[in-house]
Amino acid sequence: MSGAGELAGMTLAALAKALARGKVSAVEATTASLKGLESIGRQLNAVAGVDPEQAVRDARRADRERAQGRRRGPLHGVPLAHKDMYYRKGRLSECGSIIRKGYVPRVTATVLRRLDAAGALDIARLNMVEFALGPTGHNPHTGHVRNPWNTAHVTGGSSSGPAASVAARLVYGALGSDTGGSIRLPAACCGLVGIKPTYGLVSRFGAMPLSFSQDHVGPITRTIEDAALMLQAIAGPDPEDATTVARRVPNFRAELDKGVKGRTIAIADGWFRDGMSDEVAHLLDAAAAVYRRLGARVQRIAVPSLDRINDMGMLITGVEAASYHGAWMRERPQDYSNAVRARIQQGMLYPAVRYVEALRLRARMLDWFQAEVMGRAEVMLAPVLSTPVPTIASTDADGDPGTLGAVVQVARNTRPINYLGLPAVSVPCGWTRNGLPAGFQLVGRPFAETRLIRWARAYEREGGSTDRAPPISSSL
Amino acid sequence: MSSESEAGVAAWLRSHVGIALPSDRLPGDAQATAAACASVAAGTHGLEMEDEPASYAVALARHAEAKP
Repeated sequence: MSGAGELAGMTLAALAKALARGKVSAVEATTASLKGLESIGRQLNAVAGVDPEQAVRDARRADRERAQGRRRGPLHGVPLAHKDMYYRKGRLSECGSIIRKGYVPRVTATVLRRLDAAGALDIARLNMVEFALGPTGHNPHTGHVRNPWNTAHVTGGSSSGPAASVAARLVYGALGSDTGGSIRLPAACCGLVGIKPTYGLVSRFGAMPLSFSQDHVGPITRTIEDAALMLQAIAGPDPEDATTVARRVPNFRAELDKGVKGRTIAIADGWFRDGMSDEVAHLLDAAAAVYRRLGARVQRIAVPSLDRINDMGMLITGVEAASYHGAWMRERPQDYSNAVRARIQQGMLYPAVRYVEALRLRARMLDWFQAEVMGRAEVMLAPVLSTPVPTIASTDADGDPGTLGAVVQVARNTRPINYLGLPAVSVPCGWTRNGLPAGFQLVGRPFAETRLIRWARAYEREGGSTDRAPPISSSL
Repeated sequence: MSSESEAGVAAWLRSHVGIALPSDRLPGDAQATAAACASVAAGTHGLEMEDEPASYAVALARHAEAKP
């Protein structure tokens, strides 16, 4: 195999194939990734921790196994790195915080164990928003992660390090987590694919909790096929997480290239268009036109207000986060950033009855959304961000508490989907005039990830933008 | 939020939750808190609720089986 640039330019699926055929070794791929993490990763402030010697040892083992004819799974030898909130027994997991500084978990997250079983290499811990509570990527403790498309702009959050690292082609995929948009927002801000699966499809055992009723684990990758490969490895019931559902895990790539001709997509107008910039509206209209060209039935839906759903999602997140953080908030309040402490404190003010009511309303809200919004459509196309990706300076809620309300609004389009628990995928759809990427989200029916992936792939093939690398990346 | 009500919130947190604010910063946006509570209350008047939160998992499964 030739240079690191060529290696970095490969997608996860392409690398996995090259590894399986012996055209590239895990050591070559890992060494190139480590080099990128050390240089570009530091420049972007994307890296929380890396153990290069361990990573190379793991890569050598993967190569040895392959030479002996033993391939663990479809990700054998592929270097990945994850948000610093997935516990691995005996290894630091600091969750972007001062509170968890030096924390060494005693368990390994189910999703990491499953990726290990699929043969993936876990080569670094990636920076994140403090305790995953923030949609922009700011973190005054570890420093803000920089967007590789323009380092003055946010990466989106809270999975900031994963998005920056995958976009800059330092690793081939990363796990993020999504409680109100924390996979889809950074994926959109960095020109990537991010899947938030249906609630109950992927185990959260060994992942730092934020809001256990709305936390979801999923992949951030360059292409939809890459995301499907990672999702395949991590999905399925887990006795360690009682919220996972005992369903057969389908082949998520079964319909990958089957197209969308004759199938129905809802284009979300109404509430989703409130406050949307003309640039973003134009890109979404162009995406709808792509689906029309592909032969899909495109229906525009005037979506009624989802403000109440957003309120309930915020309330549940606040209360559950306040419960998890209660002891630390009493003993070490000064160790939180101002913005995160403010949001957790807010959670302590909600009456318990309102919290339970918000949970009891969830099923009916889901019924309503399926009937009134999704209708007969297989998927709904909606914005992720309503505006072009903002700068770090203009959205610093910790430096300027007056912006906290506006910053919380960044997740207005994504948060309702967490309350509803529906699957969603963020798909890159071009660039705005400031040179930053934009993305839309496709929202599907419960456990219909295979169909969602099919729709995302259809767009990616026709109008997608996965080949162009950002100015700061390993492939240059 | 007035400074008087800010002080009230801070005192309430201290006495009921045991949390002393480390600075003069406030516990979030009290208006947003009130609005969220009002929104849920309005939902309880306008929509029938399930008897208990676990019904949500049943609803997810039901919609998974339904044809679009």
